[in-house]
Amino acid sequence: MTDVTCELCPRGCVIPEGAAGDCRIRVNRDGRLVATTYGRPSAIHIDPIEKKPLNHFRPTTLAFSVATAGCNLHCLNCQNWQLSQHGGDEMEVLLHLEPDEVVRAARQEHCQSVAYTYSDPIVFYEYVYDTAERAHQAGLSNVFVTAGYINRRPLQQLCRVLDASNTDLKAFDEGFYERVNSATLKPVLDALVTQREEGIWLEVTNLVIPTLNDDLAMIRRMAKWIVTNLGPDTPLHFSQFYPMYRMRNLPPTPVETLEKAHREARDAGLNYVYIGNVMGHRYANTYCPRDGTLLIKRTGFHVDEYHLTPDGRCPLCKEPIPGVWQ
Amino acid sequence: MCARATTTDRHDPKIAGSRWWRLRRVLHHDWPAILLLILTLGSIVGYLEIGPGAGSRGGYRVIDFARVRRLMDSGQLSTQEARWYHRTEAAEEENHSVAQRSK
Repeated sequence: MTDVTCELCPRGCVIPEGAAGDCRIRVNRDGRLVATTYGRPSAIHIDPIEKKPLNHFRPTTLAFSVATAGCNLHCLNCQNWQLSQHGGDEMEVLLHLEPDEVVRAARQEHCQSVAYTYSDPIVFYEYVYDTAERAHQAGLSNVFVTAGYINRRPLQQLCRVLDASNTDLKAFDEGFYERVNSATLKPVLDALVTQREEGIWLEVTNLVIPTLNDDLAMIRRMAKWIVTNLGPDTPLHFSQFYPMYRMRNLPPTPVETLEKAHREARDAGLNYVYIGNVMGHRYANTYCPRDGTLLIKRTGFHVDEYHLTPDGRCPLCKEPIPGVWQ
Repeated sequence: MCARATTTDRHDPKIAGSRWWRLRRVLHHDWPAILLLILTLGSIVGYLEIGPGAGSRGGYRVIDFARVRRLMDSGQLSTQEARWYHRTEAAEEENHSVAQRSK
């Protein structure tokens, strides 16, 4: 009998033969770890890039979004739990789409990027890596939407083929990660710093859940950490919570709470703070941090107005706005 | 384990009703139970610290492997080898090998 130790994420699962890792999809078959959902996505969709959410990365373009079953987190409020909390063998939909075919389909559908999303793409790492390599060869960008629960070395290697990431920072509290996500905070912070160091475009999302992580002092600490470790130009999205999965006992986040969080983050020094999941809110827009000019007006995932100069500056004061605007 | 106070203890005005009396009673009459409790807790701690699970950081999931193997063999699930792992011989096999060598 040969056990295998998975080194991909901080869980470090020690998997006996015939069992799977905590993520459900990495299986020890005869002493060999198999990525059972490689080329077997269970969800495919064409999304606006704003849905990831990425507000400073190739706005108005489309992302060919791919996900397989499995996840290395077990969030009580997961909105894709039918996908993330099952193994590949439990899925009704199991498509056959090898990396080359993903890229071909993305081009056919006029997408400018491939997004690895919905469940956490960390667990289908090999599929992401091989697809991303081919996507680059075809001139497409790669977008990683993740909770960032991954070890440093695999992430460093993956960053070579990624262009942008939206990483969840679910709370700035170790206890929250343990109770709600079955995870820990430190590796997520490390992953954020690694992505910044590796030079991919990075945006951060914080889902604000009433009574669990809406403490303004904690939000301020989180924003200050982002300013110090990732830089003041890192976009931060405060997302509205809706009751989901095993957390149906809490109400949706009041918009006033999101606005207070927005104020705390701006006061802490972040230049680009957004409110997400609230249709038509003014803080879904991008404003120039220098003179307050409206730069990009959004409704939902749709861009209504776009006023940046071709080289990504405020049209009035010429302040450069960080992002990938081409 | 029944804890019964002696007549002497019970009627000694210095001891009766005091905490010390209760503690003495427990120590005199319930020591086998206490010893058993200490040994049990010691065994649990020892198992967690140096048992087969010690040192492993993460768990695993028991799956319907026959079904997963069937899906792999039919091509519905992939057999692509994962990256970022290493093999570790199971303790049972190591013990077995040692036993064989010693023969």
